[in-house]
Amino acid sequence: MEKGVGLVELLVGLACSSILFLALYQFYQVSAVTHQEMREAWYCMQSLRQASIQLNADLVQCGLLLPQDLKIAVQGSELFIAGVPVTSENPGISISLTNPAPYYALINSSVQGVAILDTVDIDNDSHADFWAGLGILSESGPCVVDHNYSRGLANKSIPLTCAIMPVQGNRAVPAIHYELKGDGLYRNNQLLAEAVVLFHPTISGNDLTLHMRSRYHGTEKELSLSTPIQ
Amino acid sequence: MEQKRNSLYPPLSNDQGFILAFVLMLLTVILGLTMASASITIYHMKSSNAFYRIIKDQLFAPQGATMPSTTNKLLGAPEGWDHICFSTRLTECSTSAMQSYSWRVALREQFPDCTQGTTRIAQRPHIIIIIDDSVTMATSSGQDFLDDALFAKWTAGGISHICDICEIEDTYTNADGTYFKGRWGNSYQRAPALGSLTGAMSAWTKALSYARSLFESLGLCEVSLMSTSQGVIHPFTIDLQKILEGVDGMYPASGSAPLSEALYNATTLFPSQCVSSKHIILVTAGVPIKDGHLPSWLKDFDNDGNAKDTACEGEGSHCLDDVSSYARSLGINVHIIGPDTAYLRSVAIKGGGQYMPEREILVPEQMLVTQPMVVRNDQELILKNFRARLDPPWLKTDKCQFYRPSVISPLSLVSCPNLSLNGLTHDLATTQTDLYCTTSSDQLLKVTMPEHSLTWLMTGIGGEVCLRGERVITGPNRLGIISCIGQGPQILWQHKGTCVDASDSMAYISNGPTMHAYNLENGTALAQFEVNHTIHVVRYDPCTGGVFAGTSDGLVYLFNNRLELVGIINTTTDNAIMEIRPFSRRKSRSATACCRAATRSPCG
Repeated sequence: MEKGVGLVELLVGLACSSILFLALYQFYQVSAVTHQEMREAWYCMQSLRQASIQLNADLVQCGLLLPQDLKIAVQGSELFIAGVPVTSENPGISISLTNPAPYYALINSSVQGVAILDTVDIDNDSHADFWAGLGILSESGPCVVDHNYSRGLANKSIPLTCAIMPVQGNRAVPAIHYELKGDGLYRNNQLLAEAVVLFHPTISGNDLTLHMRSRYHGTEKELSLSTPIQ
Repeated sequence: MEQKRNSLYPPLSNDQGFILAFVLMLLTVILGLTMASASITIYHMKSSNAFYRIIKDQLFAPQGATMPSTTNKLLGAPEGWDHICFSTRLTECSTSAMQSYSWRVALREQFPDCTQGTTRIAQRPHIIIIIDDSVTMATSSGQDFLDDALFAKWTAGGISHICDICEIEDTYTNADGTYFKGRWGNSYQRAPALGSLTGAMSAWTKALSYARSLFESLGLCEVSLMSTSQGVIHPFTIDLQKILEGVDGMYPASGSAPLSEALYNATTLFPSQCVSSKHIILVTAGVPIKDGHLPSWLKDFDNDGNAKDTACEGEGSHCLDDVSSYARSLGINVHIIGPDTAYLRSVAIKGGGQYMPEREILVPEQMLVTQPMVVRNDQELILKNFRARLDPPWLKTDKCQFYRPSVISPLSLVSCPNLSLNGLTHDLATTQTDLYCTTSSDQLLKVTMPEHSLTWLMTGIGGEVCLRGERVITGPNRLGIISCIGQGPQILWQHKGTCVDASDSMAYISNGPTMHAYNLENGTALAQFEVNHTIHVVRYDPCTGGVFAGTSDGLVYLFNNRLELVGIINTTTDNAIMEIRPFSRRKSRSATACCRAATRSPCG
């Protein structure tokens, strides 16, 4: 007598395959969620890494060839690190073969949000060392160069945004300006790390501590850096 | 019923076949390990190679390329640092791939020593020099002038020995007096005979020649000058030039020689404080005239029962040894310079002193360092003064050339082999290999530091010393002369002045209230400015090119390098400006002006 597949056998086989498919789907679900979480965490960490690498690079050269009493300033969530950032138009601070360091500019006058410097080329390398979006450190405190400033060696009148305007006779040095905005952390008014939602620099004694948090969808990552101010 | 199945291809191995299998497995394991080791080795080699390339690119010149070139550049002093003392040394190291810089502060010049060594010893020997200026000193000493030696007959009339080498034919006259050769003097400057003594040289010249060289070496001593006829000519001073000028201004013409009276008076002149030892040096022919008018208890103080221990209106009083004994009882040593007679020797012995005293028993014994240590290429050289004379133990003098300015042409140098180091270290300046130093006795010496040898010594050149390229600017010396010395050595030019400083091309010299600018190469005058106040210090700022002049009444004048007035600063003090140190502050010229308080300690 020929034997076929029975109902019981069919049901058992269907149940087994269903269980197998459910298990596979569950495995896929877990994998997909894990992948999503890892991607978000990677994105957060990438933002923090991007910020920390740039901060470290700027802090390494903090105050190089500049007055050592004008190195770092913190104003709320804004951080100012003395130095000239390297760009396509400026090779950064360079050693002058005529004048000894430290290099700085003097505030000749300061009226109505505009400071007039004695020079905008502090290291005599024929490159303007101040431009829009850059920070300025002076003995009166930190400032930010307004976006309407036209960069140039001849333009020594610099519109500033400051809590306290620098006064005549103050020394001023260019500074790299970090600021947290709604869409991320900005460096010299250029977006540096978009997932950063918290940027909290503090100076305690001889140490600068940076606390950063990044968020992407529901994932948050935090990072704290501490560096001595020499 | 179960049926046993037989393989169509039965294995070839029997029990021994397992050995083959094991061998194959072992070989496989060994092969695996070998390949793993090779992989690790290759990985490390690649890693090392990559690391080597990184290091090579950073630190080594590429193969075939030139080695790194290093250039040094001297910049101005950093902000807030003294422009004169400090500079910035920028070292640039370049390869084809990389440039590196090092930037450090370097010492440009030592800070000048405002307090001279003579004032650093609170307890100083006090010496009174009594010179017998009676006519007996003008009589013959029994010796002739040395034929080839140089002598000077000063305007006052006295004759002094200058040097054993003479550059003039017979005579040469200038404002100081008449210089003559000994051979000429033996014919035309003969002293009158005294008894059997018939030599051309007078007792005055013989005694003063010895005494003068002794007086020149009495550094760190307070010296007073007396004559038997005039009493005190100059009170106690550490300025030996004043003493020497006083000696040169004397002439033996007095008809009296109250030797014991002068010695007695001298015993009362020593101060009670700041005295480490007391000496009286009596320069005499040993013939008292109109002498002996002393208290009766003193006339025979040595109890020798000499009948001549009494006052005499002519020659003959014998009280000198009694007063000498009395001086010794007071702790004063009496020394004698004069003819070698038994009487004068006994006076020296009774006075606890020496006949023809040596400088070593007069000057302080202690070692004194008056200038900072010189450090060059791991060498630490200290210019020690011992017994009031520059005498560093490491200095070799056997190859030294000695010079003095010619009396005919002061810019020419005359070799003078009988000179020796004299005076305390006054100022110094160094190059990488040479050290230039002046002494308080107006000597300029050059030391080659690697060999520790004294290369040359020039007398008559003294004061502060500064180096500008190949030029050595020194002055003012004790006569107020500022000199510029070139390599050779040669004197390039001389000018009268009280203060000096120099740039690389100009010398700025003040003379009283006048500032002068001279060409450094040839000494020609370029500019001058009258400030109407006595200038006390001149400083050139090598960073800004400005010139500062501090006056004796507290003003600071600022000039540019062409000596054009830039400004005047009133320091609101009436004291003299002793030192000016320029520096920059917030890109503006600043200066620190120092003055000395009027009050002094009792011992100076």
